[in-house]
Amino acid sequence: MKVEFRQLPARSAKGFSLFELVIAIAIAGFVLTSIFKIADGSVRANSKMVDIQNEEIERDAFFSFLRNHFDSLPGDAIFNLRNTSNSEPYTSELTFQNTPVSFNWGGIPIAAQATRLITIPTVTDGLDVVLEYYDVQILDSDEGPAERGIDPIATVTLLRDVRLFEWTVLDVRNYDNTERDEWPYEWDAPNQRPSYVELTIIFENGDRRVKRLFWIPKKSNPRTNMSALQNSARSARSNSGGAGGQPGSVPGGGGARPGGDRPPGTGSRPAGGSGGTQRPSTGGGPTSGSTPRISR
Amino acid sequence: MKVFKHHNLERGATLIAVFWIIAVMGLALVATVKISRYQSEVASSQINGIEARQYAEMGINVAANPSVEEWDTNLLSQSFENGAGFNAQILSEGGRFNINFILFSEDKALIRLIFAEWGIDFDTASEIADALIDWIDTDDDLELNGAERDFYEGQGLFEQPFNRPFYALEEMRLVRGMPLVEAANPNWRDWFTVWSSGGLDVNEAPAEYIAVATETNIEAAVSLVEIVDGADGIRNTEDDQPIDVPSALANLGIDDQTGVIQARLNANDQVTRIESVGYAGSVRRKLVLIINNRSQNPTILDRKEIAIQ
Repeated sequence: MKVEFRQLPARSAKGFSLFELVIAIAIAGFVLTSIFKIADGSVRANSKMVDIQNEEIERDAFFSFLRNHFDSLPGDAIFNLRNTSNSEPYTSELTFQNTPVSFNWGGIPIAAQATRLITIPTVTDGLDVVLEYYDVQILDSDEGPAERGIDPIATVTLLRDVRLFEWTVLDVRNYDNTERDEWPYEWDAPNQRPSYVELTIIFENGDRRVKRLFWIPKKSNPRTNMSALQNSARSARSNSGGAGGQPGSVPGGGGARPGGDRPPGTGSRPAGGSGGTQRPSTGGGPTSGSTPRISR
Repeated sequence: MKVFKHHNLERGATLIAVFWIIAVMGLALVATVKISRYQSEVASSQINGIEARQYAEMGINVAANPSVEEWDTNLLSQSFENGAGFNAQILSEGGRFNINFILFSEDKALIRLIFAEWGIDFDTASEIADALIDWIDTDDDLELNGAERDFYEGQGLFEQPFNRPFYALEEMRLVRGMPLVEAANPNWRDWFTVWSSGGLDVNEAPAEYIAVATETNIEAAVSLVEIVDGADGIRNTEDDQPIDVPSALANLGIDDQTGVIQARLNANDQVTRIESVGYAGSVRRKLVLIINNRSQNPTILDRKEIAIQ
């Protein structure tokens, strides 16, 4: 048997040297470590970003919740703010009355005679922000609801363990006399509301003071409007039920519409039978097909 | 016999290893880029949200100016270089049924007609109408199929009914039977208001509402709306032809002997609804302001931000 040996290239015949192997393993280790670090860093960054994002969403939702609430406060809402501690962490009670559905939660209608946004100290020197619903009015006494044995019908913890939660208020009538950093921390005027409310907050694990300014629009008292509306409805009902309900039969000729069908002083239409229409003509009843233009 | 096989395999393995390294690094790079892009999208979304609300406020401010008319579209719809802007509308609150006015008038028939339009049967509609009246009347006397304090206390709901008019449409949801209404017509809020000055404004209401209020067919109501809308057939334009209530009834061919239909209607309601949608990027925010006497001495009746679907 003839065995044929053939000369292989020198490197293959020798294999890798130890030095080459060490270098190769070092390079491979470095590359793999780098790749792992990049991947791990990406995952960590992603996770941290999601956490931050969740916090931001929660904070944004909280501020939106407050803004929507202040925006929608009815004209007869009672606003009361008072401090409940003179040392840190400062606690406060912000109470609303006559706002039965302002703090509806998650689309579920909740009716409350009073709602309070309070801060409660925690064991870690922070503050929990809690929303309380009461089925009785609680601002009719100097004593707080707890002192009178009144329990809330529902409580919702909106924020946990914030470092700072301070309200200040401004009445624009005092704007000239009030420095920007000296807005009062309390408000106790049952028949009035401040123009602006400012919240200063340091969130849990945060070191940054976040300030939000909320405008409380001045609205007309709904009781006044409803009273006028009730009179208007009463008038309309009596006219429709009475003998003079037919078009053209109301004093004033063409004015079939009762003159009292509008809150006093709110419209351009004069009240009273003789002015019960804006139709410019002096004719009697309505003419079929006629479309006289009236001012808007 | 091939003698280069082993050597070729060695080179191929190195190539595959290099491909693997490139693939893994590429994946890491793509992940990093995606995260960065997501972060920037989230940040821009927040900025856009704030910006959209500011533009919505701008629309409210423009539309609240008494010298701006409903048809001043150049003023009421503005867009800016950065793709942001607002669309504001000046509407009359009288174009909706004032639930308080209907209940004060004890016009249960109208409530039944509205609910019937949404497919609610007569008996159920009557029960809800009675419950609505019990909610706003000041006494504790039950309407025929109503619900007073005892009923609500039985449900664990204290201090209800409020025994006063509705100050917000959301309060209506507390009344017995309203979940049925919500199920029948999820958009029931679009039909009602608590702020108009009385009956349904014939110059502002849609044909559907007019047909219900006047107990006529929809075709007649559409004809009336076409007259009001003027030659261009578009609401809130300069050529609109507002009419008064008797003329509206005449055009509908209604001989209202009792005056019941007429008492449900109004013309030239002075309560204005301003709706402003601000937008920035893909984010939109909607603000609604309801004011009385916009043209003279305006007062704010309500103001709220509404979620856009």
